[in-house]
Amino acid sequence: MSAIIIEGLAKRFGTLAALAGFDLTVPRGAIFGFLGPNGAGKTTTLRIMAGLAHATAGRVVIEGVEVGRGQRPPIGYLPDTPSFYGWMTAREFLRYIADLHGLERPPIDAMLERVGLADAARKRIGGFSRGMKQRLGLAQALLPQPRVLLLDEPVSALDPAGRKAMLDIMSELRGELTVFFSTHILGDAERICDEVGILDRGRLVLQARRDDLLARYARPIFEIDAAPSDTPRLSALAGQLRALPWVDRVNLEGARLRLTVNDVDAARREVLPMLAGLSVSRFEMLGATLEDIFLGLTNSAGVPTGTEVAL
Amino acid sequence: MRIFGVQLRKELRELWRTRKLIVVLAVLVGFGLMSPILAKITPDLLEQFSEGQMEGIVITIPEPTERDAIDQFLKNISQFGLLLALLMSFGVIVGERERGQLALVFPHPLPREVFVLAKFAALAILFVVGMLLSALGAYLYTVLLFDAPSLGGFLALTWLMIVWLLCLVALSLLASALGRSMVAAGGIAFVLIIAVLLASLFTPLAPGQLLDWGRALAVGADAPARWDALIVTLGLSALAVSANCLILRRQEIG
Repeated sequence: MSAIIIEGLAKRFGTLAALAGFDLTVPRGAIFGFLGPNGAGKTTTLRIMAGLAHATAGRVVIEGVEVGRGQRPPIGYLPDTPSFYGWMTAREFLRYIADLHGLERPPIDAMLERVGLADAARKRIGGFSRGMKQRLGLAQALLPQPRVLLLDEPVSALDPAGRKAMLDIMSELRGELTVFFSTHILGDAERICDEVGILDRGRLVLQARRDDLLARYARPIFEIDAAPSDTPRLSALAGQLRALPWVDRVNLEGARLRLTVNDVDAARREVLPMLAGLSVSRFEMLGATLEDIFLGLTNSAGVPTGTEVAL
Repeated sequence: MRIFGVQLRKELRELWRTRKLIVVLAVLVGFGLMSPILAKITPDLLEQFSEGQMEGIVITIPEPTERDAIDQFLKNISQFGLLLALLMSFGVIVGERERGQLALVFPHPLPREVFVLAKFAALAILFVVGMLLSALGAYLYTVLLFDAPSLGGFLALTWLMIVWLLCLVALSLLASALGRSMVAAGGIAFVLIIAVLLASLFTPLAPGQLLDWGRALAVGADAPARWDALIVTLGLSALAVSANCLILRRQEIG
């Protein structure tokens, strides 16, 4: 069963096509990462899903309710830079949201506890830091117990500690509801998503389960780190490996050996026994990262590598 | 209706917490109290001012009456009330849109027309209460310093001024939905209000005619009843609020 169905979604701003008409389906209960470089159309898509903007063509159906057709879909929405009424306290704001939804006994304290704002419940939001506002934004989106949570760049502007806290909370939601979040920080998406979609210049260039994607694009590379004193023996091993038919390439840098193979199964079977007698500190098959896949699909060049890349 | 109540409570609380309520009440009540006093002391001030400066010239200033107090009240409210109506209204919707607050609350079950109606209702309550307190102050001081004017006439003047002010509030609020920025909204509100004020020069149906009618009722002067202007003013206010709802419903937020 799909929580979100997007069909032929297009949006034009004058002559500019922000969304070129794409289809997307998000299964119920998934944590879905909506990836794309700046200007790809992620925020426009989320604004249409939240009912804040109108599509030029196509439609969005969330939990069986078509957006913009009168009935309100069961969503919670967090914009990229949530802006509150600074004169309210955190508790007052959540009370206001609960009253709009007609909740008689809203779990305000539990929600503030969940997002780590219990101590700030009676403080004016005007004095909150960016991270606190983001967490309160998540609380207001979760309070009415939506079935689909839409988050626009929920962690992009946070410091590492704030980002970790936010991602932990999002991870805890797995299985409770469907989470659809946009990001350009690929490491974060890789960490918590079940499924990803990559948007580029208004077009969906890929949608897949994260694990399938990483497996499909896995690179047949093994890395072996040994003790520095073993470097001569590692060099001899490199010579032996070069002679094997399933080995394409061998690089030796100090005490690190990098092996590119054409038969992963053969490599898995034969490399380990060859390491007997060496003081190996690491033996790892390198997987593809979302970053590699993303850069390949969106043709982004000149981007520094790392666990997270701001595009 | 439940959501309207929630939103109205929020708007009223905002007026209180941001001290806008205090400012508006202070200004309106202040001018209400000051108007009869100013009417009373103006001849003395003029006399003191002219002493020794205009030798040989005799200026005869008639003894002020309750009519002067009413005129002073009308003049002050029509000037400063107008300014307050403009300043309190033109930024409320565009401000929330610019700051991003609407993008946070509109995905919740808050119909946009309810949002507009609650904004208008909160401002209407503010100005009605402010004007009634202002009129009470003005009336009491007028009674203390002069002869008592007709209570019925004074009340009629007060309510006609309220209707006129609320029309300006509705137009400024419309400008707030129309403008893409605070500056643009302020400009549109200014143009709309100037247009309404100028209309009084050309047609007896204009909202400004309510003030002349109210003055006549308060001072007991002969003047034609301007029911037509009252209907036009109420209609214009309703039209402005309805247009506001329609515009905001179609507007993209964010």
